[in-house]
Amino acid sequence: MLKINNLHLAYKENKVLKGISLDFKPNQLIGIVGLNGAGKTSFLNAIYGVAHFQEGSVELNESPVLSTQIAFLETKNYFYPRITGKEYLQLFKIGQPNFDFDAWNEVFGLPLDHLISTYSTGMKKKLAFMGILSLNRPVLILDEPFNGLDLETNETIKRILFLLKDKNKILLITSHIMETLTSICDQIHYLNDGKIEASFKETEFDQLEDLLKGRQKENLKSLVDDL
Amino acid sequence: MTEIGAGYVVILLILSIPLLGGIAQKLWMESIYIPMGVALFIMINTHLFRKDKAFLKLIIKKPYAIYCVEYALIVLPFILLLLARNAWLPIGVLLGACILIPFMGFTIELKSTRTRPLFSLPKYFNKAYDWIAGLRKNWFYLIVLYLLGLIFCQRTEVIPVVLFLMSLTTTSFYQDGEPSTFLESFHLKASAFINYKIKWHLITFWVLSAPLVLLWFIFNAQYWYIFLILFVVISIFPILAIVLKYYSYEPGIPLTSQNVTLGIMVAFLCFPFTQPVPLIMLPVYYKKAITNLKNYLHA
Repeated sequence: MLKINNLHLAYKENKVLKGISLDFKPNQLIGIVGLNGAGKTSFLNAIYGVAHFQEGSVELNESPVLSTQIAFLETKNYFYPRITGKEYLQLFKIGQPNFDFDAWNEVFGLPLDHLISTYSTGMKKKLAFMGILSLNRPVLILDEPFNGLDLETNETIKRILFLLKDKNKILLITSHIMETLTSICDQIHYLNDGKIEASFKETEFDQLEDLLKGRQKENLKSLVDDL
Repeated sequence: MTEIGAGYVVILLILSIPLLGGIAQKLWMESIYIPMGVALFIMINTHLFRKDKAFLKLIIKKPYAIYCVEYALIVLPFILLLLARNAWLPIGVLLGACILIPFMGFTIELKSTRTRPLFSLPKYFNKAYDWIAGLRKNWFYLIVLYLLGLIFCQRTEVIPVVLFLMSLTTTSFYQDGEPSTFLESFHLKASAFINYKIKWHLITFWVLSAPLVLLWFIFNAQYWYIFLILFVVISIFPILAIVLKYYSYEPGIPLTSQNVTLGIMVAFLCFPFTQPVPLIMLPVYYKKAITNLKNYLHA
């Protein structure tokens, strides 16, 4: 189990996370939603260990979590310039020599001998996803994994996530596309102003949608009319 | 400033004044047209490659005045320099350029249409993503340099200059912050990772340069001590580049702040009286690089 206990994170004076406590069990797909600036990416970075929290703990099976136990797909995937997809994946092969990139690429259909700089946003996402998949770690954190993907790949990734869930992985996902999250997650936590404001089980997802709609500015129509 | 340390910047700037002053004085003494040429080049280069033109056009109807003021500020030090020598013609040219260059209505975007790389590298380079990218960027320049070295190997000064320039070019390979997963893939501790990178670079560089070194010794064995000095100096370049890279490393971020420090350090290394500076600073940067890398390497 991945246990987040009273996590506090601040960048100088700016408090981003204000005491988050959550438990993530294996064999579960957990969604994190929140408005822009709510602290989602900081939360994920803190779990992964690249953002240093001032208070609290992150434990996997009752020991402090190591970043080598987490595979993290960042929102914006950066690749080194002038290298090909194949060269990118070669680096992952160092630690995972048995991962069959060719077989996996039959699923994703990427031109691995092409320079990554010529890839579309969706292709880059697929390449990064393949890379983190090869790490075969117990915890997968996916920050906006569906951004820029075509419908077919969207469905493929959903299927992969379901299969990973069955392999007892702990899966954390953020997305701005509510329909995607509600269709795959077992539970969704709503992050607002650095705190978990509410948590919703599968049967309560319609309440979450109502909550988010309620937060939309009521004066939107008049603003648009004034344009 | 906080990234590279304000204190260090001040020290480095103070130390670099005599060095840069010497270069400026040399240029100044040569001709009044050299500063003019440099200023013109900076202005044209800035204007042709700037990426904010569309944005400025969006918020200001005619952004020419902004460009004029910006370019005038850029060339101001050169104009002052020329004023001191009553060089009115170059001053006139520069002022005219400030007014005319903003009307150059096109922007150069260097985008390659190539989807596949021009060449692949042997398996030995699999882990050296920085070398793969760097060689693909600078291959033509490096081959020309290498050929010049081979052709003019009998001349004492050619191969040292070629090795010097090749070493400088390979230090430029360390300008991008790779994703943290790249670092993790090495399964090494921070210090072992840096040491590995340094060792790999030095071995590869000197093995690739071995034919040039051999030729130089065939024709210039009596000057063995020159090579010894050169060997030490140009081996320090990549060590500095690698250490400075990981000192300011952040995943996915081009490491521009370290380039200034690296440039100054390399300049210091080229002059005997300033050579100790980088050697003193290197352990400091090394220690900080390891501390920084510990955030990303947990082996």
